[in-house]
Amino acid sequence: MRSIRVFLVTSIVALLMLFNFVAALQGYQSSMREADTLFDNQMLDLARLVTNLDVSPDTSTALRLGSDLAYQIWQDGELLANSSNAPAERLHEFVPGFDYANFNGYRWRTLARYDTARSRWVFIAERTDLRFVLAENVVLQSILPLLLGIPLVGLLVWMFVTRGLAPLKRLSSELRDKPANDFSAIPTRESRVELEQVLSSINGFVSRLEAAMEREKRFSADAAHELRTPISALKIQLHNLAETVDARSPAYLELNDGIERMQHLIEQLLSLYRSSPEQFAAHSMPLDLSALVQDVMARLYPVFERKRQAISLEGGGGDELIVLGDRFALETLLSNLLTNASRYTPSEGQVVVALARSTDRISLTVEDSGKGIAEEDHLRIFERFTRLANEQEADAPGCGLGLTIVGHVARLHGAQVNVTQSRFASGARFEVTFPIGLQNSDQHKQRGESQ
Amino acid sequence: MFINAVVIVLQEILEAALMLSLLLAFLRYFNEVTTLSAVPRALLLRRRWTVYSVVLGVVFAWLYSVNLGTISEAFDYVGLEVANAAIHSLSCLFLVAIAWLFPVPFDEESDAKKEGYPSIRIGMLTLSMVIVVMLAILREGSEIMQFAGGIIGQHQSGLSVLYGGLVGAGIGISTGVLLYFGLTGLPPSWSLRTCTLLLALTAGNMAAQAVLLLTQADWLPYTAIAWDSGALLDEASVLGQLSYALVGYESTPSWLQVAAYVVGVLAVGMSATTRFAWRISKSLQLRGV
Repeated sequence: MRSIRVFLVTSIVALLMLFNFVAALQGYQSSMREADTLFDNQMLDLARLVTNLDVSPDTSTALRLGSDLAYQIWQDGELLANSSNAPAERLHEFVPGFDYANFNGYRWRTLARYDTARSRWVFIAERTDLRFVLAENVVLQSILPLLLGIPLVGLLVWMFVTRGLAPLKRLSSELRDKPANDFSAIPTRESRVELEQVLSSINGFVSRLEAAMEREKRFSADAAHELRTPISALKIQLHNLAETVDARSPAYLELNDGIERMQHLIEQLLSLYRSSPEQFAAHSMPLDLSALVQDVMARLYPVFERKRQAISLEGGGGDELIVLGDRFALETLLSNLLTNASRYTPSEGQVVVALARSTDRISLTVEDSGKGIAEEDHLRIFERFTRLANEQEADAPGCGLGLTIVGHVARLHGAQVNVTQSRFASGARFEVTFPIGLQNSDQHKQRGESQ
Repeated sequence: MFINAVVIVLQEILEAALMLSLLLAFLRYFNEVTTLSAVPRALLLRRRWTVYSVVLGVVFAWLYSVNLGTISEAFDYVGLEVANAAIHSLSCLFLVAIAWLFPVPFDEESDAKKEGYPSIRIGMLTLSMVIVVMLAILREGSEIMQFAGGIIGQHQSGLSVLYGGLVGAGIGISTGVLLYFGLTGLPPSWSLRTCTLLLALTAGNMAAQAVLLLTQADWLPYTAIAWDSGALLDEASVLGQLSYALVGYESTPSWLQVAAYVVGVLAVGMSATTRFAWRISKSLQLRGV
């Protein structure tokens, strides 16, 4: 994922550095040229001074020059005077102007000046290397702040960019922390112009979502309630019918099955709606999972008996298996897992429920000896109305909502559901792990939403 | 000394930085386009290799500059030229390999997945990129180390060399960063075209430099100067340096260098076009990118 901040900071610092350093380079070159002119002017001044010297045997002591400067005074082709470091030969052609010469093992900048009044030639020489070092030292002082400034500028740019992006960061954390059932608008008063459109769009989406949820809520509730009544009436009518027709006739049994399936579907729809994170109002309390499992198993015993399936419970005897949760929701989870196991396990098959506790979690597993679930379907089965290919073979096809409800309830309790192969030759193993220590209803809610 | 340090460090850093930016831009393009398509994430090119290649490059550059004496004595005292020519030729070769390996033929995605060859191809592509970056750092790093080695001990100019080196490195690195953002900021199809063009020019540059070094070693005959554009663009100026690093600009190339340059450019151009140009642009059109 690309970061806006890294892009902004890197590109701004790179641009600043490039322009500053190229400018420093240009500055260096022009300053060095200027310094050269300055040194040349100094040489001219010196030449004028030397021209006016009274040439006498002690001139060389009267005019003491540093080792980086040398001079000669010539008249009529004869050397009148010179500094101690100047050679005996002439330093320059008898042509006025600047040039270069080599002597004493160094390179020198030379100047020739002719004084018409005294008809003298004055030659001045200055060591180029020392001139250069002197000039460079001065110029480099102006480059140092640029070099030192770049890290500082980088730090400042980083700080300003971070500050500039803060509203975006605030918005994203606000969105992240927003509970799934919170449809309130995000406040726009502290926002920035650039985020205004984003915010108003998000708020628009949220309010439309809220309306849609409300409609769905009303529809599911109304539909379920409205459908329950005619089904109850149908069941009574069916019961009455049994007195006049043979209750074992295939037509009667099929009618009965059909009505039961319809009733189941409506119950599941209601459970699904109640267990969705947006609707769930948790009535959390400490529950003994072991007792709950035994309860649900006892209630569903007829289902297993009908198919002559063996159901057993492992573990859960000694350990304290207390989870904080909603009783109704957890019962729904358990009964859905068990009904599923029974439905997809052939007659005389086996179903094993196991409870276990480790240091930080409690796990509930339901294993069957049915056909099992292909690995590529492991995620898909939790989607609404998912029907697998082998489902047609089950004697009582489900409505495709059971595992969706299991997923919802697990998430609401901060639990995870894993599907693997069962211990039998074939079959599925559903493992629900409840964390211990995260048993706080607010955290449940958060977890449910973030997932 | 300041200006010498700037020129030398800038020249070396610029070449290595531009090479790295170019390859990173390629990588980015590859990963973005393949993310759009259905290629599994495991097949994406990793950016981690750049770290390995930089580290390897620095180590080899150090070894190279330490053994400079032995190397330069080889082949009748032209060992250095020959070794540098070899490094440049190898770089050119692997740049051509990158152009050849780069594509993932999008319209053959499913076949490619079935046969399983993209992972091998991506492995080879990554290896080529590692080698190219490593060689660039070896080349440029060893020259900077030689320069620094020559300066250490001259206390007088130490500070100006340090400043010069920093300014040169700063200009080189920021140019590399801006080139990277420039290349990745282009629309995908243009980004790919520009990257490929720069890759071709870099390969030409490498081939021309190899020829120049071999000519200096007397392994290749001298040929006439093809042209002199020094008055138009000075090689020593910042712009000249940039053009040299980016497209291998030289104001007075020999005919043999020009020929090598053209061969390098064509080699990349041909391997790139035959493999993927029309395919990718077709798939991009289909995708509406």
